[in-house]
Amino acid sequence: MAIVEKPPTPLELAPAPVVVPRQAFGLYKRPVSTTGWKSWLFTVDHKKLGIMYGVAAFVFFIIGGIEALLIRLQLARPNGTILSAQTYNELFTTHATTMVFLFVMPMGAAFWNYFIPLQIGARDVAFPRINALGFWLFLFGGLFFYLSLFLGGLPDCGWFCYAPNSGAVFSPTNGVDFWAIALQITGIASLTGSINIIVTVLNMRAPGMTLMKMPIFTWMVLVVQFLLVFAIPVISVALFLLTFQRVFGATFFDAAAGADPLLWQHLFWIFGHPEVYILILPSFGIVSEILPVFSRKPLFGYPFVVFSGAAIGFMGWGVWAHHMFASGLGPVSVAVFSATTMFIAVPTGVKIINWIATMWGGKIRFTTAMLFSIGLIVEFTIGGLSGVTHAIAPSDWQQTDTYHIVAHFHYVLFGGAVFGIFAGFYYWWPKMFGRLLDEKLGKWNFWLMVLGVNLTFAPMHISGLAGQSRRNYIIDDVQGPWVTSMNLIATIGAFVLAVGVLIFIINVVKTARGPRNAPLDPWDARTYEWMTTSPPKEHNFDSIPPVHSIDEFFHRKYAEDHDTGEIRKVATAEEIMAEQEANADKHIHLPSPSYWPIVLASGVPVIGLGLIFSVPLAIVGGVIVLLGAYGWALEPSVADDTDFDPPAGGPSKELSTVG
Amino acid sequence: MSNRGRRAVAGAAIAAGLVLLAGCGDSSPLDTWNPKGVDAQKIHDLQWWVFAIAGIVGIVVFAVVAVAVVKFRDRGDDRLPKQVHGAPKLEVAWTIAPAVLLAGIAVPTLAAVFDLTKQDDPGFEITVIGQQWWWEYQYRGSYNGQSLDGIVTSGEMVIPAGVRVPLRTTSRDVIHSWWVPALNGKRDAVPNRFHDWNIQAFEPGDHLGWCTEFCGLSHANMRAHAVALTPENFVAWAKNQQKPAAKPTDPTALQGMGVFAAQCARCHTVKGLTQTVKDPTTGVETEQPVIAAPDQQLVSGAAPSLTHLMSRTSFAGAIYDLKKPGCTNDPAYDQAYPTGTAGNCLNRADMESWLRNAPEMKPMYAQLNDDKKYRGMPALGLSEQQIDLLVAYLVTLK
Amino acid sequence: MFTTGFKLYGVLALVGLLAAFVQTLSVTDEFVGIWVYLGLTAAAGLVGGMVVYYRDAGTGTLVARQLRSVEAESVTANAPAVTPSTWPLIGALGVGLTAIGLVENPFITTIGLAVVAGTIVEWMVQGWSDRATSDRRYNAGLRGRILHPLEFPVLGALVAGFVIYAFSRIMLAINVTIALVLFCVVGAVILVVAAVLARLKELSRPLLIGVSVIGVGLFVAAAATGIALGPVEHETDFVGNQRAVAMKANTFGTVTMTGSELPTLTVPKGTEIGILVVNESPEPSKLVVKGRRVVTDASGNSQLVVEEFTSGELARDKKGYVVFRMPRASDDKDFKYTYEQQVEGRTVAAGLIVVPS
Repeated sequence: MAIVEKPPTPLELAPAPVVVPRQAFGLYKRPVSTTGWKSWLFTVDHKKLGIMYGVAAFVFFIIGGIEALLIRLQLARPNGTILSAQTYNELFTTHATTMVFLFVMPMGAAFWNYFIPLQIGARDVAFPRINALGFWLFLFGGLFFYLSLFLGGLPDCGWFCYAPNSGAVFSPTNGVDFWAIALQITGIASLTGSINIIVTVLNMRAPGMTLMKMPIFTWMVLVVQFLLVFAIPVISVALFLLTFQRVFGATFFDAAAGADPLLWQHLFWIFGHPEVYILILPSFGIVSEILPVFSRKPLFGYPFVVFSGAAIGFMGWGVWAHHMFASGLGPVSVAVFSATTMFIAVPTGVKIINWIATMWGGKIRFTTAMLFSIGLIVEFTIGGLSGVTHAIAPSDWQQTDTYHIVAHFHYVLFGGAVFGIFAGFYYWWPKMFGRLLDEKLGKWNFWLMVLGVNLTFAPMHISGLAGQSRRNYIIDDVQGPWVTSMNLIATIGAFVLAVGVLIFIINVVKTARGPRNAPLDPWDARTYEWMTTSPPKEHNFDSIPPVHSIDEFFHRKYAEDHDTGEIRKVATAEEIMAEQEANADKHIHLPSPSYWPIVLASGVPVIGLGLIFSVPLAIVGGVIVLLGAYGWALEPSVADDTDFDPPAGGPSKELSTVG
Repeated sequence: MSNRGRRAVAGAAIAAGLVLLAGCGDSSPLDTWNPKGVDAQKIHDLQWWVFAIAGIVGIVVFAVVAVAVVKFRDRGDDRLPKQVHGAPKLEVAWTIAPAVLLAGIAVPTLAAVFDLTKQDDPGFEITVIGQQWWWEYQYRGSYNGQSLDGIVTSGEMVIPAGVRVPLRTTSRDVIHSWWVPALNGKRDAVPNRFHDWNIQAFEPGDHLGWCTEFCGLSHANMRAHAVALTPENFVAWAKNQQKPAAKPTDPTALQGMGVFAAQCARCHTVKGLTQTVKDPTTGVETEQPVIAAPDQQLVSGAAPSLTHLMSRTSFAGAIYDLKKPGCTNDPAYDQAYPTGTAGNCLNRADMESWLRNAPEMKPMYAQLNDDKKYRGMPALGLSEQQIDLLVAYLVTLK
Repeated sequence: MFTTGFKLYGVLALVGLLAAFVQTLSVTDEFVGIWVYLGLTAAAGLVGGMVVYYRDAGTGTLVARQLRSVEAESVTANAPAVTPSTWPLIGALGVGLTAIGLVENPFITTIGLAVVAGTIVEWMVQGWSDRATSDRRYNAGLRGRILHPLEFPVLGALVAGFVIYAFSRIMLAINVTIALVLFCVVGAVILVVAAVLARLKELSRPLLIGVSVIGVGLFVAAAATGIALGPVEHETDFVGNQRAVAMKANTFGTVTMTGSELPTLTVPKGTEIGILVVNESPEPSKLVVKGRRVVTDASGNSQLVVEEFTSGELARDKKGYVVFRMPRASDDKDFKYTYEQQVEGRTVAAGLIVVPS
């Protein structure tokens, strides 16, 4: 190292011009672009990351949807010949993996990344660079997963990938390796993200916002983050063991070497059941925001909705074995898990009743966002009730692994989670882009999706009870006319659903081409995120207004008339904004963008490729990760004004202390 | 379309579903709501009213939603509705109400769980062994004085009607699940584990079953039959199953036996099959039994025993008919079944195609893997003449 | 923007990468060289990164820094800024350990070398940063900035390793009952202490340090005791084949050893069979199953070899477990499977195992 040891240079005491040292010595400049592709690639802004999460997740949604359509085409008629058995097995594996890990989870992340800081009055998340790392790991994990298509075949073991069918003997292609490593990579993204959001929510709320004054979406997301923190390590360990078995010949799940195959099932479902709540709770949060706004009433029983969400978060850990009722647990285990599964219906039911009570006595405006929310109540209720029928273990012995289950969880996940996501799109689109999505197309979108969901998944209840087994690459006339006819209806329904989604895409394109037409407060909303411009400025809020009640924005707009007791409007959104701007903070701290999250994240899939194909490649990946980490640690905490081109004045960009 | 319309659609779908289910008769051989055995009946007795309660709760919820959206729609009046934040007493009530309802469902459920896992002791049990992609059944014990020891069959499990038979499920490779919906729910067949289960049929008859745990490429082609016979027929069947195969007298069949011993007996057992072996030192020729060694050829280490092939109705994981429809639809077939049917009954077309190229008839990973083993039956490259000879031999295996 | 020093190390890193690439192309089964080259790349890249950060420790930057620190607060010019250092001492310890290890144990040498290596890096950076500017606090910051990314992960790994090792020693040294009691007591103590601390109006630093030191001390003491005691023998009901994970679910049947003839067992071929063994004869006995196992040699030919599976010796009324797998049916006289009860190696009773085809 070129260290020159010599006594410190004596200072010149004469008043010399002060030289401001550049901190971004050479390589360690921080990126400063605020426009163009660089501003997206190196951003640490939670809003840009949220949008990128959303775009990537939606692309994966379309991919997963096309896979679903192929599956439905194959099953439209008996003995379908569109797909081979191998291709079919690969497609149902990738369809489920994509929808769960690459669509619904990151779409939840899109919403909570964008709206949690806005809802709690923060200027960014607690660890902005880790937030960026999470997004890039998710994206690279997803791309890595689909890389298997070109490098030896997609995984063919089902999204649950039961041992020993996941072993190298029974699935000799590299598909399962790609699957296991990709999910470990996206797992890192979920884990870092969840810690980030927990710290953000617990520490960075606006003054006066106690936990019981947090917006309900923030609450549900907080529960989800705790579920992630505890669930992701379990699946990561299981996947790590599986990778070890397939790559290095270990025998954790190798039945031929004496392993108990049920070990994998327990590990998978201890993760897998909380995962269901990870998928659904953000949507519950979204509709819990939307229903009050369009009923023009506060959420009925806010504390009960909060506590039922938390109760789901706790009870969700005690029900995993209901996925294994037929797998040969003893009767005592089956009985216990049967009972716990029934009782987890209670907090879920409480939520549904509270949503209805919120509408009751209100003045309901049927915007598309509201329609999707009501749709969620109805469709999720169907899914929830069919869920109760499988909680009855003996009944489940007949139904498990039939299409009755497929119908159940699609009602829960499509009718529940996805409807909530679409409700969120329509509700928050003007906030994110300053443009209102077209309501007329929105209605078409909604009704086609409702029709599609019921046409696709309702017949599956029947074909399942008529004995149609899951994960079969063909249906056969021998299964009887109910199975064949219901499958044809389901296929037609799937295409109706696809048209519904297509109309949403058309709506997005049309809106993007249109003018910025959204007023400041298009819905007469109630919560904090609407107390800023649309789209929000980079620093979110000019000043952070203190919080006095759950529906802070509403209470700033409306007040009770002391004489008549009537509630009337006292301020407009514009007036509230103007007041905020007048009190704007002088010096706003914001994190600078960084090169290193994407660099570090890019090394991780290289390690994965190395594990599968050649160990030296893994070392190269490891070196990239290591250098990325040291670049991360050594880069200056602040971008110099001279780093900007032209040199920037005004509020400095400063990194929060860590992250 | 109004909200009322949408709910009408949803409601109609559910109502239609219930009606259809009630109407789901024998046209659906795998119907879960058409019990034909005591265990399935118990499940059905439990589940129909759970479905009913769920349906009623659903209808109530939809009705309330319908009333809410109709009654409380915005009618353009600008005043805010009353800002109600909640009603704690009401909340407690509707937390407790579903809990009580569910507790009511839980009590009979838990009783049924223990009831259905209890086993009877009729003096024999059947070990159900899954492998990619067919089922094997092994019998132990005796029934009505007739020993069942050593009976090994595949594709069709044969039981005496009215007897609740204890089953033990296991697997030789991956996890499968044995399910005959008309008789009982399903139970996974897990390697290294034996899971207790039961099967009982009220009346004699053939009940279709299906593998329900994803088990690889041909999961859709792994089916099962549970055939219930009258007690007399069952005893006759067992007697026949315990006999070794007789050496055929017909010269063509005898030639076929040679082909079988050379090509098929590496994996498939035919009890009583012998081969002339010449001692290399003494030159003495003796008849030696032919022992199949599927453990050296197959990942699962087993192939179906063909000793009594013609006493079955299906082959290849129960996906192809072994007999012509004209033969199985004959009322006399029930009497002929226990002791095997004559050769002219054979569904020659499918059987010959199968022998010609099995992987084309049923997807299997039928090429050698790294351990030099197959999964499923490979294409043997038999000549047409060999196939004819083999068929002539196979039809003698009653 | 690139300094001379960086050019040197950067080129070195590139050369290493190139060499690794060439080796990957030319050699297929030997990875050690690639490791070395990639290690070189990593090391040179890291040093290069540090060097460019400090502009080769060029004086221009340093003057600028000093100027800024003068701006920030008044610092006595030309103040000697050398911190007292413990590195000579630690370095000497490392050298000593290395020497001792050469005589005693290679493991100690490894530790000694690691200490010496650490000392060299730490001392070098310390010495350099002490002279960087005249502002002592600024210098400490410089040192931290360059060394913390190295120190924290290494120390963290060491502490985590120690905790895992110590915990495993404690757990191995106690039996199940003590473990239960220990978990309850320790859990309760932690809960009570935490509750008390949480109720305190003000937390004083000495109190927290005191509690932490006591906790760590107890843990270390327990670990030392655990190492001294060594692992205890764990008693289990089931001895014998350790492969049977789910022995209860795996049980195919029960065999009772009474000294008289054993019944004929009928088992399926090719599946793992677990038999629960109960010894009801007075002598300590074991159940031995004489089966066959398929062995595949290097050229891929399989053959069956005799293999014995045993329950392990069982005292009277003890239960044991034997797990076996019969690869092939027992139709032929060559494939008779048997099992027997043995007392001190003598066969006192035998039975037949039938594997139907």
